Amino acid sequence: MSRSSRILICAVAALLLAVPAFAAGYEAQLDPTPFDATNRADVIESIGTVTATLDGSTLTVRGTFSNFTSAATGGSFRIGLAKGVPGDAIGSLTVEHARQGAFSGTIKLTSGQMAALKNEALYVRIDSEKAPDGNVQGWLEASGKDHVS
Amino acid sequence: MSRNTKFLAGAAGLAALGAAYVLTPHAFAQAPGIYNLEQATNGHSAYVASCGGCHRANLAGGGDAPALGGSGFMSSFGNRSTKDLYNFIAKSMPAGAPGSLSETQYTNITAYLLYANGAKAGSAQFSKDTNVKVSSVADGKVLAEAIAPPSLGKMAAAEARARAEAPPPAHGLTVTGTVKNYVDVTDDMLVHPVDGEWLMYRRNYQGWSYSPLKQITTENVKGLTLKWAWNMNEGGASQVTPIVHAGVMFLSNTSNTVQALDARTGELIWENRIGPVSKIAYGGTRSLAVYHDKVYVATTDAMIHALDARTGKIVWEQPLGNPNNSNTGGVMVMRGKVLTGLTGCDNYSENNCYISGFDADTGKPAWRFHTTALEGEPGGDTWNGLPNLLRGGADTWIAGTYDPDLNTTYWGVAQTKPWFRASRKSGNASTLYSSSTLALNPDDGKLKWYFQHAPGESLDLDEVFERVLINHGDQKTVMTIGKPGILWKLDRVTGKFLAAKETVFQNVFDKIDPKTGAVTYRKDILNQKTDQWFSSCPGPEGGHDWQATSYYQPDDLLIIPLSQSCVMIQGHEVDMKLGGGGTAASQKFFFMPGTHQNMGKLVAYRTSDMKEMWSWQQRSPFLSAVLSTAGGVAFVGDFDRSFKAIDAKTGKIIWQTRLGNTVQGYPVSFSLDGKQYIAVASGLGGGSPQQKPTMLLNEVHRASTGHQLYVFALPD
Repeated sequence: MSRSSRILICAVAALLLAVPAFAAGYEAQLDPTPFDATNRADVIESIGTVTATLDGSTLTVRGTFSNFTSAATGGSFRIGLAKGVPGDAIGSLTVEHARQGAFSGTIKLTSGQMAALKNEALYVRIDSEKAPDGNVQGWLEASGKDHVS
Repeated sequence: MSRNTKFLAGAAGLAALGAAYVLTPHAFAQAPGIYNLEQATNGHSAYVASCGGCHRANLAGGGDAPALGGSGFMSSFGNRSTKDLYNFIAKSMPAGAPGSLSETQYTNITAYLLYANGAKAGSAQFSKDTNVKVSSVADGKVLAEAIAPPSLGKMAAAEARARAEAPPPAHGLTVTGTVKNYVDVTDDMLVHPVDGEWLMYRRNYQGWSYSPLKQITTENVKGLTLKWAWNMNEGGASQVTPIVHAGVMFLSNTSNTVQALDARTGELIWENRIGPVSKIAYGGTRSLAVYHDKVYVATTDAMIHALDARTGKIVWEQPLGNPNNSNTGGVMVMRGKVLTGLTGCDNYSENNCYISGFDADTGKPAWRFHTTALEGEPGGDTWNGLPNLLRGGADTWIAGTYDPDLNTTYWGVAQTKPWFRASRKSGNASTLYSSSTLALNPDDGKLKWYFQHAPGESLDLDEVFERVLINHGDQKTVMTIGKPGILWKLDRVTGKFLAAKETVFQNVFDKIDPKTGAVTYRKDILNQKTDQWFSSCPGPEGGHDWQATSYYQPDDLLIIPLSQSCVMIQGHEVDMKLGGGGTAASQKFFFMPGTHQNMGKLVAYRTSDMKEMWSWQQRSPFLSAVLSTAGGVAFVGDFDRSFKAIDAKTGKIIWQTRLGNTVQGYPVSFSLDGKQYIAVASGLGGGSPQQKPTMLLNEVHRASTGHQLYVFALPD
């Protein structure tokens, strides 16, 4: 391989490595959705994680979930008035139909939805047979945010 | 009320329980009966024993406990099934000890609640699987006989007889003795407490919870050993502050019991079981006071008592409020006046809520300051035109602090009741003096200034907690932090806002004006209606709650125990009449986003510039106050029984041990014969700080008893 070819390959590799630097990263832990004593056992042990990448206005998420007491049935991107405030679905996720598994999804955000993401008001929710209105949920935060000081 | 009168009242109550009532089949005649009268009768007995302490005999609810009768009950459960109702009760009740009753008791209690809310009895046996919509059998019309019923069936009759024949609990001065070498407490001793004593709630008038003792240091604290322990009364909520003077520890137990113990050995000197016996969940008296030759205690039946410090005999006693009122915050003595607050103001009553002052020697009432501004008085026009009767809440359930130089006492005031402005019909009115800091003259109760932190508060986010007095050069400040987790700094001469700092995530306020401290609520909170769900981060557990801060003076650090949880909360319609109102809300629980399910957070802020100096988080929330000492060690304990010693400068955990149950109360330090001691209690009971981790932390298992005092020191 010629020197110029190696330089070209390195340049391409550097460019590819540099792409994520232009894409913002987000993440969240998925915790049980709000419960009271009547449905506590259905959700209390459920957990998950999600990572997300914003490339331009396209948000792509991948995540996993586990410890469900019933099979997952679906998932959604959602926006509320603020972090911690439930809101309406703005897009759907592809979710493994199982008690533990993976999910993913992509959505093109409007400027208002971009602002919601920046304000940590955008979240993902995974539903299940026993918890059709939400089994776990997590509000996306910029990656690397100091959770435990 | 005298002791004799109270004894007679108690005896009459027992007799009434033994009397035979006949349940009247009633109401909702169209629906078939899904329970029988024997179940409802037995359910009433179980309700009185295990639920009535919080939800009240009249089902009206109180504090964190929602109404179980009338419109409040129907709002919460009308659209749900009887199976949901059973499950809710069986899986979450009694508060702090869910699942501790038998299936039969839970089904009976459910049957009783259905009966009380108008459901027709029949011949069917109600079971945990009975599954009909509550509103299809009950209409929420509470019958008088449902509140004080019945004794039907052999089992219930036998229970009632057994109760009537049981000996009454020990009462009065049950252990006699005399404190030797007692020294009267002077005003000067309260202003300038000696290093080795703990004479009041937060040790000094400024509310620091800081001990100048320094025998125990960051280097040797690992050597702490248990010197003595003492089992305290069970039942109720124990959140005790031991008071130490003249070698004696004065200890308030639940069931309104005061004890004098030899602080060196734990030997009991005298005990006065003033009573009444505490009911489940509530009943903690947080602080006693000592002054001259007396010990002062405010009790859960809204009485204040002065005891002879040497013998425990009652010297004088005075009523604080009406029978529905209570006192858990305790008392403070300032310039010859005993000051105390009032709680249990959630149901509509004719006396509203207030702070009181009494002459310390005679008990003569000196003044009252109404914390619900009344019609025609200053601030009285901030209630959206509601009459005095419908001005609930503004309880004062934490004792105040005092600046002797300014002769000013500082008190926090809790929120308006019912919690939701949509429930109480107060519109967007500020409802003074709820959720405020008050500066009062302790001599006459006159208001010097107030600052309202959360006008028209709606989500059970109290701002009632400790007011800590800190000077920065010539600047005199008062600092406080409430359930929203916002640390406030005010000028304590004028009440002017100086600074605010968010210590945990909160989503209730969109902004806080940096110049005035005025808060702007999230818009859906402003547009609220009843029976809608609202997110509240933090929730009623509070970012900060009664577990008080400590001011570590050497480094100007305010060390704050914080909690991190959220709720979805829903306000309900209430009966707008005498006895109505209440807190009137339902809740669902969830972890605070971004915390990785860490409910506990300990943080230190430098108060001069409000800069966070250190913090860390853990799974369990802290259920004790913080104590800091001149040895550089701070102490704090948590829900999962761990009692920790921390380097006050860095936050690093140096030593920890596990107690018998949740570390709950206010740790103190004292010295005797040259030895420094650390006293800390374990305890159960209480509101949201107990309820939320009970629901959210699935792995924490605790014993059903465990009110105990532990005293540690370095080896001899």
